[in-house]
Amino acid sequence: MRREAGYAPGAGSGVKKLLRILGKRHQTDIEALSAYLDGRLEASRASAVIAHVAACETCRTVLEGMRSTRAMLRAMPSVDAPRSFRLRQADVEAAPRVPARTSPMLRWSPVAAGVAAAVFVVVLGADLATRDSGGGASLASRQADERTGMIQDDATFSQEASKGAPTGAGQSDDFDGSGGAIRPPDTGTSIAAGSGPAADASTEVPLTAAPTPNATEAPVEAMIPADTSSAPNTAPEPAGSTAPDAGADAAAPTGPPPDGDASVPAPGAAAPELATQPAGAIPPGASRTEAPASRVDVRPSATAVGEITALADESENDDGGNRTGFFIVEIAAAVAAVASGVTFVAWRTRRRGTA
Amino acid sequence: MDVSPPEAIRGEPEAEAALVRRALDGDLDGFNGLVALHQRAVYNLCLRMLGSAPAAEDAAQDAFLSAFRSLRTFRGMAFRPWLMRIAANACTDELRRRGRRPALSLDAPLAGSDEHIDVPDPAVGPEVEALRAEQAALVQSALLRLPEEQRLAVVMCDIQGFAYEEIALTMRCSVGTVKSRIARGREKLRRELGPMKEQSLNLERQRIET
Repeated sequence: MRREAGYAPGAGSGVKKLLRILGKRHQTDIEALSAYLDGRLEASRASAVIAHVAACETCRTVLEGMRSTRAMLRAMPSVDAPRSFRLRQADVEAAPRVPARTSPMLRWSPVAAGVAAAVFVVVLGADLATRDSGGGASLASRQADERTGMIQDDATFSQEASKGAPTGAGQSDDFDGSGGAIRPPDTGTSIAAGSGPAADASTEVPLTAAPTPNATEAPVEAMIPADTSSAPNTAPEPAGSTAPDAGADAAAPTGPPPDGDASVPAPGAAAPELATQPAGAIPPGASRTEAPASRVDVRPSATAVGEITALADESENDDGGNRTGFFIVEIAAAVAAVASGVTFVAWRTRRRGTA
Repeated sequence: MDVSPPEAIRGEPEAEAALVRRALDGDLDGFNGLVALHQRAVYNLCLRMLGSAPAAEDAAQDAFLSAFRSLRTFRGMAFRPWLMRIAANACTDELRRRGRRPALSLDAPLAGSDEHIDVPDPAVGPEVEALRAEQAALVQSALLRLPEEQRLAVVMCDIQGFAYEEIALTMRCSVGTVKSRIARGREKLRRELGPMKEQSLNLERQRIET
C-alpha cells in the first residue's frame, strides 16, 4: 500500500502534503518526518505533519520508528580518546610522511631506475667497445683460434692455430713484463719465424697489430686474468697434447701476474673474434663452436672464475648469440630504467596532488 | 533526552580562535591546544565511521597530522568543521585501504570498539549495561552498512550532536542535502534496527527512571 521510497530531492512537497491531507495513497515523506523530529521544519509544514501523522498510521509508525532509531543513536556512548593525539615536533618535521602507505616497490623505483640505467650504460659500453675493437681484436681472436685449432686437428684451423700460437708465445716469452696486448706485432714477427705457417701469421699480424684497439681490449681482459690464471693454464694442457707446442708454451710458462695478462686474452679474446671474423664463422664456424665445449670439459681443475671465463669463451664464440645478448640486455635495461623512472615520477606527482 | 554528547559542545570560541592564530603562525603548541580541544570529537567520528578502535586511532592521528600540514588551506572558515572534514577524509582513506585488504572484515573490529565503550556505569545494573552494550554493537554494525555520506551525516547529527549547518560545512554541501542524507540514513537504520525498537524503548525508559 505504501512505498517507503527514499527521499526524492526536488519533489514538490506541496503535492505530497495535499495527498497526505487527502488521506490518499502516498509516499511517506521521510525527509519531512526526519526534519520534523529535529524540529527543523517550518511551522506550517510541521503542523501539516502533525495532522497527517495523526490520521495516517503508516506514517505514524515510520515517525515513531525513526524517533526510537534516533534515540538508539543518541545512546551510543561517547568514548574518550584512547590517548593524546598531540603532535610532537618529530611528527611534524618528518617531511610528508605519506610513503607509509606507498608500496615498497614505489619507494625503490628510483633506485631501480638508477640501477637499470647503469646496467644499460655498462652493457652499451661493452657492446660498443667490442664493436670498435673489431680490427684490433684479431690478436685475441687469433689466440682463441689457436686454442680451437689446438684442440681440433682440423685442417682449416691448423693454419690459424699456428698463427695464433706464435702471438701467444710471443707475449709470454718476450714481453712478460708488460701488457701482452700491445706487443702482438713483435711477437707475431718474432715467433712467426719459429713456427711453420709463418706466412699466415705475418699476414694476419698487421691487422692485429693496430695498437690502439688492442690497448682498449687489454684492460677489459686484464680484469679477468688475474683471477683466471688457473683457467688459461688449464686450457693449455689439453692444447699441448693435441696441437702445436707453441700454444702450450705461451700459456704454460705463465707464472707471475704479467703472464696472466698474456694468457688471459685467450678467453676474453673470443669476443673480439666475433667482431673480426663474422664472416669467418661460416666455414669453420661449425667446428669452432664445438671447440669451446670440449675445452670446458677439459679443465676439471678450473676455478669458479675459470668456469666463468670458459662460459664466456663459449658464448662469445658464437657471433650472433653474443650480439643478440648485448642487444637484449640493452633493450631490457633501457625499458626497465624508463619504466621505473615513469613509475616514480607518476607517484611523486600523485603524492604532490594529494598533499 | 536531547542532551548533546559532550564532543559536540563548543568550547570557548575566543580561546579556539587564539589557538588557531597561533597554529597558523606555525606554533605547534598552539596547534596541540586545538588537538586537545577536538580530539574527542575527531576520535569518536572515526570510531563510528570505521567501527574499529585501532583503525579509529590511526585515522585520528592521520587526521591531526594532515590538518597541521594543510593549515595553509585553512582560511576564514570555522575550524571545527574544517577539522572534521579532514577526519572524515582520513576515514575514507582508511575505508578505501580496507577495501583493498578484505582481511579486515566489518564485523571483526566491532569487538575491539566495544572494549572501549563498555565503561561500567554505576547508575545502572549489570543487565541494563549488557543490554546497552549489545544495542551499541548492533547500531554500530548497522551504521557500517550505510553509504558513507549517510553514515557521516547520521554520526555527526545523532551520535555527536552537530547542527545541520556545521555538518553542511563539513561535507561541503547544502543544508538541504544534509537533511536528506540524515533522513535516508535514519530510515535505513530504522528498518535494520526495527526488531530492536521495543528493547531500546525499554532501555530508554530505564534510563529515564534511573
